[in-house]
Amino acid sequence: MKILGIETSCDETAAAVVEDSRILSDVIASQIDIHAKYGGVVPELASREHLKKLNLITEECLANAGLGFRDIDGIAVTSNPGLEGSLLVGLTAARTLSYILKVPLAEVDHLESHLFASAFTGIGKPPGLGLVVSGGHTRLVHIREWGRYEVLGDTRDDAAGECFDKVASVLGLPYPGGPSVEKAALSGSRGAYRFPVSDLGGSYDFSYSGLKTAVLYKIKYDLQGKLDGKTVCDIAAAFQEAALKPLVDNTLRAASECGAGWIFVCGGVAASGRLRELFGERAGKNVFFPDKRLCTDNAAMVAACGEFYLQRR
Amino acid sequence: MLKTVNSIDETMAVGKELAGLLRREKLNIFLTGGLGAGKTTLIKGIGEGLGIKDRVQSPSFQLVRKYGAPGPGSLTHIDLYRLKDAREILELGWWDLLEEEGVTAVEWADRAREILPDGAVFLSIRMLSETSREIEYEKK
Repeated sequence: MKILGIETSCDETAAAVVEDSRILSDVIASQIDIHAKYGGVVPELASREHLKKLNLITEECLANAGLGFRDIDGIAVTSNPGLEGSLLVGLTAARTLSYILKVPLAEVDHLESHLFASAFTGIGKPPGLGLVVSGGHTRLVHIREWGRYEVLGDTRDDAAGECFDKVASVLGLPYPGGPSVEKAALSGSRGAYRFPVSDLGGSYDFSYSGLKTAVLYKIKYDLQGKLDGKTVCDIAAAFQEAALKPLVDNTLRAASECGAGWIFVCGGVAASGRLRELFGERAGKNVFFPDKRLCTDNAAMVAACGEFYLQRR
Repeated sequence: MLKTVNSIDETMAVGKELAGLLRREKLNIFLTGGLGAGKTTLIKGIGEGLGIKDRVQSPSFQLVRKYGAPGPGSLTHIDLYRLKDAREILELGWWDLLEEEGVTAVEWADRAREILPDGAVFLSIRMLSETSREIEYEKK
């Protein structure tokens, strides 16, 4: 089945065509430039951007695959969670196309779609373990089989990616925070500062609020707001270690306790080179990541998730 | 009214106590205080006091998160951190969100200074040390 996937849940307008877990075309109109100005996602601005871009993106996506609308066998679209106005743009387009083309529609969950980015990695069959870690989510999921999940852990306060964004803004580093902190950290010393690594006992949950506050406090009071280039890099390096460690610790502990055959790490933070390194050091080839381009929101993962549900019907 | 708290648990308790006083009435709560002051923590306490079972998480990225069945006793949690001016905030559906039944709690309310209606509770949190906070409560 050739599935057209549509994603507008947050800051990306994206369309993709997937067939048998192969990407025929994948177009993302990154809105990073618009949002960089505002230091984050601006919802109605985003929804207006989605509206402006979605038709163009969809047409370009089909043209890239050498396909027309009539070649599409099914539609998949992100229905939740996300910004209401933004979701509505994608949903309306998808429902309209499904109606006009008389093809089935799958309205899929955004977090489940992230897990389906694994369809392009040659990962084995479940049971496995999924870690979705992004600006809005930090969730550890036991994938018993596709479509059957158990949430093992979630953030108790802030998402990991949000913590990177907020710490970056205090360090004067650009949005998005993950890549800019990682870049600064390369010139810093991880041991220069000691920040608290969240430890929630036997739970698989995460917490990033305390780490955020500790970094802010360090800068505002201990350093009296004086940040030179070296200090920024050192704080970035020490913070990054403290932020990534619980992700690796909880995931590996859960993997061994549930006997998961593999681990799949996805979402924007999964693009982190340092996170990949840490997982690689400790879990080797049992850990899978999407291509960096498929870590952040994209429509290929939406189409893959939709393909699974439409084929099961 | 001023109150000093010395831990995250105490901040939560202030929120919980506040929710206890509401008796399911419609109320808008506007919070101010810098990054890491404890705005989300206070709202977690409010959620607990309202009897919300779901975990209250930071809405910085999603901007709006809703908890509990719609109606009295529900919580609409808004974060204006990423928004810069009144125009953007209005486009979020601001007036509708403030009309939601139950409690509407808004973080970074100072970003909406020109469009904050009266008849609300204003909570401002000041960082005294890494763990201590001064919470100012005002109804106006």
